[in-house]
Amino acid sequence: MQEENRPYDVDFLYMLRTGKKFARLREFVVLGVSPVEIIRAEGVGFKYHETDEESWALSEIDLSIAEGEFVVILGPNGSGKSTLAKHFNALLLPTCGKMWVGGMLTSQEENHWQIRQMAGMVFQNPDNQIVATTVEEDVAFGPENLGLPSEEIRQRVEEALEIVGMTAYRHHAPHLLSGGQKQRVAIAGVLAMRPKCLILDEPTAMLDPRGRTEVMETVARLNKKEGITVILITHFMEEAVAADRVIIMEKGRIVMTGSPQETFLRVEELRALGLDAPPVVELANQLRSAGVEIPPSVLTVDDLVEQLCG
Amino acid sequence: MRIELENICYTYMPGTPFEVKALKNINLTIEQGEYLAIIGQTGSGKSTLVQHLNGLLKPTSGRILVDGKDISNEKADLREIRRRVGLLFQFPEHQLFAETVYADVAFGPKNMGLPESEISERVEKALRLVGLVPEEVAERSPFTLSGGQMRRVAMAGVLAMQPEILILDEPAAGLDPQGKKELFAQIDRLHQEEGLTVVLVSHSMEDVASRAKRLLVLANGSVQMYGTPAEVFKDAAQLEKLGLGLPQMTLLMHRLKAAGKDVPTDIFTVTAARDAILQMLGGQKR
Repeated sequence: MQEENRPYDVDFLYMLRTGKKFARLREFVVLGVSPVEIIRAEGVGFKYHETDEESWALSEIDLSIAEGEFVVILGPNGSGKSTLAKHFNALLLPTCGKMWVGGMLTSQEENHWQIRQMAGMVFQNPDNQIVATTVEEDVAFGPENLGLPSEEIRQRVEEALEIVGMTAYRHHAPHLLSGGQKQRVAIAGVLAMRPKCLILDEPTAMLDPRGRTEVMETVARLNKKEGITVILITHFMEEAVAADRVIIMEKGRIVMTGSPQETFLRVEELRALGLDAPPVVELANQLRSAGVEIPPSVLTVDDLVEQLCG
Repeated sequence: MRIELENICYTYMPGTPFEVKALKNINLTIEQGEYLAIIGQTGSGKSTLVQHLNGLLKPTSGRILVDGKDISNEKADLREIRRRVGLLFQFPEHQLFAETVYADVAFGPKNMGLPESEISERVEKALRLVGLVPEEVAERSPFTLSGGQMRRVAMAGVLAMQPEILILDEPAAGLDPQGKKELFAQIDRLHQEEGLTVVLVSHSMEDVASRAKRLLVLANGSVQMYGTPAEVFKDAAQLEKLGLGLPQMTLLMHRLKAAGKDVPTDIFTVTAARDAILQMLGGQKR
């Protein structure tokens, strides 16, 4: 049993053996810094109903995510994105294969508390995630359940609200906030658990443009400033350009992985999967075919303006 | 069919401490065959407004005229109005309930008391209109379908009532790019080929800019801007103030213009942007 728990550091031999390439890990290797692995999947498969003969919701998932990485998972509806995400904090357990979070095997029930503290999850609809009558109490819900002393809870709540920029609303009723604000409160609730990894399942699908910007800026700040690992599932391709790595799923399998630059150049393959490049990248591709010289690093409006006017 | 809103106000829970003025003095005419988009932040009153269009909510003050007849009147035949004005709510797949796709889509026509032959004809047509093959899905449970397919079944349920106006509240939320593209292509086809009047409520500037003929911008329950996409998206500063913003391509053009380039700003699609930029670059060389 004990030997099932892997060492916390990345097993480079495993990477070499399987020939898997991880953009971010490569950088670490070049820098000579040993990255710490937070999530690893080996041959993970999952079925919702064990009796079901055909339908594997996930199959043959091999994956390694390093601490501090910003990973975006894309894929059509029904491709297994949310199913995979629920494996990252042991809400679902692999039918076959193995999944480790922070070196802990998710199939061992005694690890679940620690795993869920380490990897927090934010869902699509903020209204389904709010439990208390004031913002402060809502954020305190998790730490209270950990049975922490009240001074510690207060400190964690304050800190979490500060990070998502919602301190001014601490005494407000959550249901009267805007969608973007509610979603930031939900993120603060997860942060108060001091997770190492934040998993967001389409957190902006129901938000207006300002709400989307608020949430995406908060997530980027958490990753860059606080060093929290971010795994973001989204249908908005433009949200993927800020990621270190993009993972694309189809029919329960990982079919493409690479940096946003590498990924969005493969427009034809993306289209075949029912996905798209973000509008700016699509435009850059079209301009390129018309003979205009545009480097592949152009991913945003800012990049393109600079390129065309510089 | 033509709907006129005259000075509509709506207050939630009037006379209580929770009183909220959700709509303030809305004046709007929706003409036959129109494609109108309503945009605004969460809580700006969009959903409240569209629920007035088929009499689900009655205005606290003001009048709603359908083909000149006042529907806020006690005697108004709301059943008839709800048949003619189809409303598809947000995440309509949550409202599917029947055992088979057929039964779900047939629910409305059945309640109208139509003969069985007409019902089955309508169900088949409605399913085809939303891009589903009746022979493949009719006898399946709607809950075995994918999210995108379930949403189409819900839309077929509304279309089976053969409405004259189709109101869609965030129809593409949560759909993948392909599903979204297909859904909008179907809506465009219904608008163009079946002559349906379309009212689209959306958060996505990209989706409304290239489709709707007119845009209505709501904020805090009042109309802030109203006009063609070109007119509305001209005022980037105002939209930004309202928490909305521009479609990416329009934003790009505004930025190029601000940097001193001679480009048009009424650009909403990638293709139009490409042409404008190629022209701009061509002009420079000369």
